[in-house]
Amino acid sequence: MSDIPLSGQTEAEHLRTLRKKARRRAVLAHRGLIFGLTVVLLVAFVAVFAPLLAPYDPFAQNLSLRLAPPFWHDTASPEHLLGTDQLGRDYLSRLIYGARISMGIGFGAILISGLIGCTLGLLAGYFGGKVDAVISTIITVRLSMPIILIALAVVAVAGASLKIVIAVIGLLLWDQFAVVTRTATLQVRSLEYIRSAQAIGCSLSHILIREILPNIRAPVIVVATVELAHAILLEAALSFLGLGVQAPLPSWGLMLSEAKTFMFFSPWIITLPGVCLFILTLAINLLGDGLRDVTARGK
Amino acid sequence: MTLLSVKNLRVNLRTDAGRLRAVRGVDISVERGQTLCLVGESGCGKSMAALAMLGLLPPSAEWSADEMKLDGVSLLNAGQSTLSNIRGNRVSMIFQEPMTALNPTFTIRDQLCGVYRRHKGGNRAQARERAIYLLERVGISNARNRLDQYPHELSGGLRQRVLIAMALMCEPELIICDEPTTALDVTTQAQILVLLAELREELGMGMIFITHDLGVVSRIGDHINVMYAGRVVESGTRDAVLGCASHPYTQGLLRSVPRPGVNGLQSRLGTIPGTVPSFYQADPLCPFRGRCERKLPICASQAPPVRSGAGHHSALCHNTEISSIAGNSA
Amino acid sequence: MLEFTLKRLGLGVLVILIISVITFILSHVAIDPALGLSGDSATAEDIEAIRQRYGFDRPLMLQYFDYMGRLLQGDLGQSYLSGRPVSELLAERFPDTALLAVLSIGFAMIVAIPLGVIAALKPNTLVDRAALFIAVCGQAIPNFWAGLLLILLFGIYLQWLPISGSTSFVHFIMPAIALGSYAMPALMRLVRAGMVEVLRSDYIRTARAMGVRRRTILFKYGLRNAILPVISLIAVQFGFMLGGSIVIESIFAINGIGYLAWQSMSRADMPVIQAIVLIISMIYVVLTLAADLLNSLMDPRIRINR
Repeated sequence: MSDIPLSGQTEAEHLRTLRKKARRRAVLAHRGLIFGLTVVLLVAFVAVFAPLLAPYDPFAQNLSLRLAPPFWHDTASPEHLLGTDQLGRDYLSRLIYGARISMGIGFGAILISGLIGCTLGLLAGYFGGKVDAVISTIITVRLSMPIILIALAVVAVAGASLKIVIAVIGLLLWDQFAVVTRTATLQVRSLEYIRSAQAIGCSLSHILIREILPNIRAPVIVVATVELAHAILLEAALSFLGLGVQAPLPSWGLMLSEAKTFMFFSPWIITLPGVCLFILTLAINLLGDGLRDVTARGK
Repeated sequence: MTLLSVKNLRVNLRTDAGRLRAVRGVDISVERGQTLCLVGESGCGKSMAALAMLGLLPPSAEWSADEMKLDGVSLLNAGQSTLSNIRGNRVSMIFQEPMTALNPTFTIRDQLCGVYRRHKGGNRAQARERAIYLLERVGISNARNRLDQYPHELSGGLRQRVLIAMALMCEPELIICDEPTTALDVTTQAQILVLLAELREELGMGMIFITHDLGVVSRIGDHINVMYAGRVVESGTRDAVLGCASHPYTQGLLRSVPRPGVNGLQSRLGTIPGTVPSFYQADPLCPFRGRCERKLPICASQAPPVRSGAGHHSALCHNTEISSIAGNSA
Repeated sequence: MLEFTLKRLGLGVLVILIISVITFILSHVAIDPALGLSGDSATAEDIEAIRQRYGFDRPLMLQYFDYMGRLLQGDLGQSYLSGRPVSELLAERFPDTALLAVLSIGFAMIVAIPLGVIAALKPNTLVDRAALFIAVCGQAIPNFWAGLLLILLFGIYLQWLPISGSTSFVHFIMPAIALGSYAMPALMRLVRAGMVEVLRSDYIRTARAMGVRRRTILFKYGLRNAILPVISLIAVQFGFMLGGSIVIESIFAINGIGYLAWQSMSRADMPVIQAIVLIISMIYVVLTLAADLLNSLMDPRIRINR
């Protein structure tokens, strides 16, 4: 069959342009992905360099200048861009340090939960049978427990500290990691290259970590973003209830809780930490949605 | 009067890569009591043409036509509600996927009677009687009990019969069958074909039969439109098109049909090399020239002429040499 | 069908048993129950006496079986703080929480289902994007913050609604919106995805080809098929609501289970916490079981195959 050039595109040509277009659009024109990534990186930057960025010591009280409003008010104090809280602490500095708490707890927790969840999911998906039945039951048990109540109960028993909060959240949020890893592992385990790895006698850990894990990383990363947002909101809720991060640490949730008595006269005092939480969570969710769209398109 | 007459039908699909020209100027004409077969490979636009006639195109599609008349009444500017009143009532359609074309959460009775009562009104008992009559007519035994079954309890052949019964609930004047037998096994296929031919005869309906299978065409077609890449490349009566195929594409299709005694076990079945091209720009040249074994230099520079012969037989080609085509050649 | 029901029931019982062990460990191992029971002013001898009297010095297995035995008779123990039976406390508080959860789910459904259907009808249009935007935002708003903002807006500025308490129906409006807005996005996405899939299906094309009216297609054919997975999600979300209502109840001072849990947490009143966790888990298990069964009743394919 000779190749006569046609003015109508051939199927192969058409598919190529399609794929090229899809890839370009997926990465660049995904506004949610770009926005999410930018904000998350920005907050991470702020969290890391908090001591350099914060204009004041977040713990330094100035009782003569309490509840100073932020810059858009007429009576704003020129020294404090976002005003001061009920103890006269610089609100901007506390919000900046708050990013540290949120990101630190968020990443710490998903590191733990990711490790637990992926291990369980890999084992369940790879071995199937009884191992799968046992792990699936564990997952069901975890799903049946009310997260926030369990977290509160454990914190109430073990005492509230940063480490405990990270550990509790990490130990509770692994279920989605396990579910997704299990499903993804089930899909790849019978593939040719896994069979050949088994045939040449690779060790179990080698197969699980070197062969399977890299191939299921896309869905795991998407879950990680969802759970990061989840962990940050959970920490805020625990702190809000007084059983999370303890004063005087500047957690956004705790700031909301401390400020709620004053919100009737100074509404901005609950607006600012809430907006921070909202934007960070929104950005992480958009990043996750974007990653899901892009990786799903690639397949 | 011609039952359905469509002139210069065009359908474009909006895709990521631009406007895909799926149907590029197709004429269709069906008489009462006759069957028109639309024949072609998958992707040639035959299903899109049928969907356009019923206003069932997907939202990503746009269409236009110079004329579209049902029984002399133009449907060009008909709104969705007018079309909706016609669909299932005066014009019905049967699709190729009997396994998925019935709603899984409703019983056969709900689905059959729903159509009847939508268009004809009437009470439950009348609708039920009609449903039982038709189920029996399409060859379903024990029709009364079948009524209360769900689609997933029936085999593919039975489901297709149910779909045919559903299409006939309101005694349509025209029935469009989109590869209704493709998903079925060979025996069932034959039974359904016989049934459709009988029903058309009995009810005096017009029928448009969409298929890629020339064997099916030779059994039930009165007229044939051979479609390629969104255009009709040859049309005429069954005997003219199948007996004196004059377009190289039709000839290629005919060579690819296994015939006992003609292609023995030793001889190879004919194939047409290459695939159907997709068009994103207007292109008046012959769409088949890339795969044609009789192409001339002129094929790459000039649009193919319509060569017509006796009995409305016509073909879109520069290089035809079949005797049934008389005169008109440049 | 029967086999499926029994299997799911068995799993449910197993799950409850495991959770009871976990809560038992939390209340008897992680913390010394005698210490909790004796109060702050007790001497070492008092505590030892309590330990012996209540049998806290016996092997844990024995204590667990003892605990389970009493549990099966409906005895959930006594509150360390008030000394009242836990079952009594729960019965008092449960209606408010249940009402809040039902209203929240109701709010979420009222917003999510129409929004999801509209978005599905016009995929990738402005309407669809707007619905998606609402969903994404709803997911990102911490519900306690939403609660505070609602109080500011409707309670303080507009003065339309009471800001705390649970004495009348209007008291529940803001809490239900705050709590429901968290469940709404997931519901909306599921309704939208389900509708898009159903509307694209062959049987909807058949229905259209038979001239079935648009609204019949949408509401009778489309929604019925799209709603099946939504039922499961609603059951799951209802469980979350019961657990998540703790934050909302504490903000709006609703005298429900969540508020009780919060009060008990801050003073380590373990029998109450233990009972609440167990009850909520049980409700969750029962709800998911019910949703599975309901699904199989509504979807004839599942009904037959199982």
